[in-house]
Amino acid sequence: MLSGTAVGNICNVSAMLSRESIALAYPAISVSVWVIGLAFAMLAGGIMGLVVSYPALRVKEEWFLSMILLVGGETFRIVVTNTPQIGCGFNGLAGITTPFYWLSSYFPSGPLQAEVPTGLYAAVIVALALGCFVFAQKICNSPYGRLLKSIRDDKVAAESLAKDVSRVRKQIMVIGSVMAGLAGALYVYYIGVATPEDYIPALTFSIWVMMILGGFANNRGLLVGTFVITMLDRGSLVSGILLQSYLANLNPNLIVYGRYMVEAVILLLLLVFRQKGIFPETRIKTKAYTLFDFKKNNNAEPSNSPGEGPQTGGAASG
Amino acid sequence: MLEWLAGSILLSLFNGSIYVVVSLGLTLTLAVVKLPNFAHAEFLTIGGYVGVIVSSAYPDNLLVIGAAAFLFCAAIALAVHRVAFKPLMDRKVSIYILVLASFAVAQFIRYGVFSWASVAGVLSATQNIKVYSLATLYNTELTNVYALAIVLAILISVLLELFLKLTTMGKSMRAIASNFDLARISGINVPRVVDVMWIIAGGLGGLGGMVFGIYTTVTPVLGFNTLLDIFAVVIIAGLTSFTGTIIGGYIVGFSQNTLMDFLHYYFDVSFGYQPLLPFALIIIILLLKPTGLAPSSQTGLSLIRRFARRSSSNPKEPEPPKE
Amino acid sequence: MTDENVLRVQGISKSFGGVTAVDNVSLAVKRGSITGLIGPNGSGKSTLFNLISGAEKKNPGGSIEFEGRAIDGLPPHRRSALGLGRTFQTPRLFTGMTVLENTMLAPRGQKGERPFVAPFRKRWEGQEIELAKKAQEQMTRLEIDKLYGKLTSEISGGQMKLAQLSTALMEDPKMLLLDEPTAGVAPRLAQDIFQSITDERQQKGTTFFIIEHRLEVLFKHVDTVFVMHQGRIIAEGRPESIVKDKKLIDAYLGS
Repeated sequence: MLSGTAVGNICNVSAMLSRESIALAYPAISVSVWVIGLAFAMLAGGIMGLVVSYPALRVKEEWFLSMILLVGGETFRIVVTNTPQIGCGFNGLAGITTPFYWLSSYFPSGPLQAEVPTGLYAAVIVALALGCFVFAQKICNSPYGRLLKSIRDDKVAAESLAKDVSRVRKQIMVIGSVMAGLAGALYVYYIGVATPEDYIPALTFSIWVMMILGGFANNRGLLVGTFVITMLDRGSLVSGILLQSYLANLNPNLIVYGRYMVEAVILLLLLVFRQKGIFPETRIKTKAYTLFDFKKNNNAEPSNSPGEGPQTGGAASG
Repeated sequence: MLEWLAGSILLSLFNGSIYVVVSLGLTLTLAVVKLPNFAHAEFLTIGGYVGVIVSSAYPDNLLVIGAAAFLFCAAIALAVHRVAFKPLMDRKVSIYILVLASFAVAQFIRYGVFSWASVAGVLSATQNIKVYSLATLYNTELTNVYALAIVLAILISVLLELFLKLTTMGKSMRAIASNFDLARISGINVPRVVDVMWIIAGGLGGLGGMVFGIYTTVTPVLGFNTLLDIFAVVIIAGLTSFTGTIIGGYIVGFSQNTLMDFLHYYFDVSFGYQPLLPFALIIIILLLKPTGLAPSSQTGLSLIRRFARRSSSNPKEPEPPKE
Repeated sequence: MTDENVLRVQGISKSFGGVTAVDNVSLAVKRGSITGLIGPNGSGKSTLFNLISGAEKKNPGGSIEFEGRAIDGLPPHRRSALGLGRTFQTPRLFTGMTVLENTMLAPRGQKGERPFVAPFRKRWEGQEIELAKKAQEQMTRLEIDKLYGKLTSEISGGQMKLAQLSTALMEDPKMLLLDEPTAGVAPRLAQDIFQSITDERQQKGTTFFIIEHRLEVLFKHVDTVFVMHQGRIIAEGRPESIVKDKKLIDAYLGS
């Protein structure tokens, strides 16, 4: 338990500096703290998903679910902000370094000193993101993906086929929350500070826009959507800086507000004109199609011998 | 002891009254077009800022300021309906899409206000309306803002009830609320009624925001910060019950003030947790009645219904059941 | 314990507001039979199916037993897991999925339906191909195999009926409740549908309980018929005797 004084001790500036110096001096500690941090973040994300799924899955109308999730998120933010014991309250916890911060002691002072550890860490993030993408692709293109889509389309019909709808929903909320927890932890180690005020509903909104822009239930589309919205985000910041050299009294906040407004307009336009997003939903790619596609490609008459399907697994059918 | 109680109750009544005025608009939206409009709270922000602007030209002129807030927000609501919601509703999209669209509208308005306010230098502003004490009860001052809000809530409730029960437009609105398709084939000019509905809904949001803005500082997140409170109100109300909305408004008002003060003084709970109380109401009600307080029931929650029956001084009847 | 009745319904009712849709219904369906349920529109047939499958909750009182086990307390998916399948009057298909995906969804116990098995393709692919072959046979028999890659939102009403039947049969249920399987289907295909129902019964011993308005087709294939009228079972018997009962036919056509 952290008493009031202990809280002061980990939240103040000297604690922040000592965290940084430890990270610099002990690579092993630095990396293992990061790994443990990620593990805990994923665990916490999963637990949070499980907790929120309890009320969320017991409501009848679809949109109550979005409200429960909004309530869940805001509850968490308010609790963290007002309970300094959790994460140093409103100001957050600073002095969090990337796991490769210690590398900077091997470089002479200059741009490389800062860029190499950060760049390396960015590469790790990209790799992990790719891993999540592959995982998502795999579970979507499987009988489980079929199950998920069926529940989305018609819960009652899925139940009539002996599918345990609430269990699957719980599972997928936990999986999604674990990924979100991972993402949050990766982000915090990157920017070096964890504050509750970074995770406002506008962030959730950006993620929705990414998702719908790319196309519902299309992971590749999601990559494109993420790319576009991230470019909009970074691009607007860069152009803001560039513009400031011409317009001296440009309010930098306007760029941020403008971006949020553009995202809202993009989402509205998508909803009105192209709900499918850029890329429409695709088939669930399993081997099941090969039997049928094979027949179609050969333009054969309906054959009585189903054994001509390719690949393994034919033994038990005789 | 309990020296905080009188002030706390008064504040609860004030907050509850604001919630009633604003939430009646949302209840109307839910009843007539079945839209959980997450942009509704933004009308509050706009109303607050209209109050800031108009009160600088007409200080203390509540009638002019209030009318301006009502009309401007009504115009915004109508525009939002025409531009965003109507095209979607005409296509009979799912409620999920409509909810997303209302979030988009909310975000657009919120950051539009942010942009304007940061250029105009009014990210935090006050209205030019004098607040003075009317009477003192138990060391608690009853100010004109409190009185205004409470009177306004009663007035709006009664007027809305009369409008819905007595006028042709109001009757059409109720007909659409109870059966959209039947209303359409029976010759009601649905688009016009829906337009009027949006004017009232937006106007009430703006009016509530303007009165709230006399009491508190107006910021671009004035509305957003009350979004879930307002939704707590309509959830308690079972989404479409006007009586329920009035009761729900005061339940949320009391939970945020009197209950919060009680928790603070007796259990040392920090005021920072105050927003959690309406959240708890949302979760508890949705769990106690997992059907989501279906609109088929008259006031949604039997608990509330019993409460409503007991307080028979209430002049209103529940809405006819929706099918 | 072997019971010749696979389904036993004892005194169940269902009312909506003031209207009693199902009024104290008792019936038993024999194992391996094809049993019909007929009656005018609004007589409560579909509601009865909903009560049996669990899509709606019955009024307190009465019991529903499936294979000698009380199922009225179970949620729909558990009932279906016991082998009690159903179709819906207006087809409820998964409209964002293709006909093949709909059919492939049905089989129980798919290894790849567990989230932590799903990423490992090798562990479920064998089973997937097995099921795909079965689906292909099934769909060929119902003549919807050419539609395999079409979304179910893009096919005709009759084809939807067939896709739904194909999905329900893929589940290998012990008993299948079919709600108007031939409505909107071409007459020739209606015959074929009942033929495949009979075949299915012969091969697997599946029990069928069928709501149907095409009496001429139904009566050719059923063993027993229940007649429902205003929420009650008013007659039960072999199709020949039902046809002969002039009063019943009048009641049926008259309302």
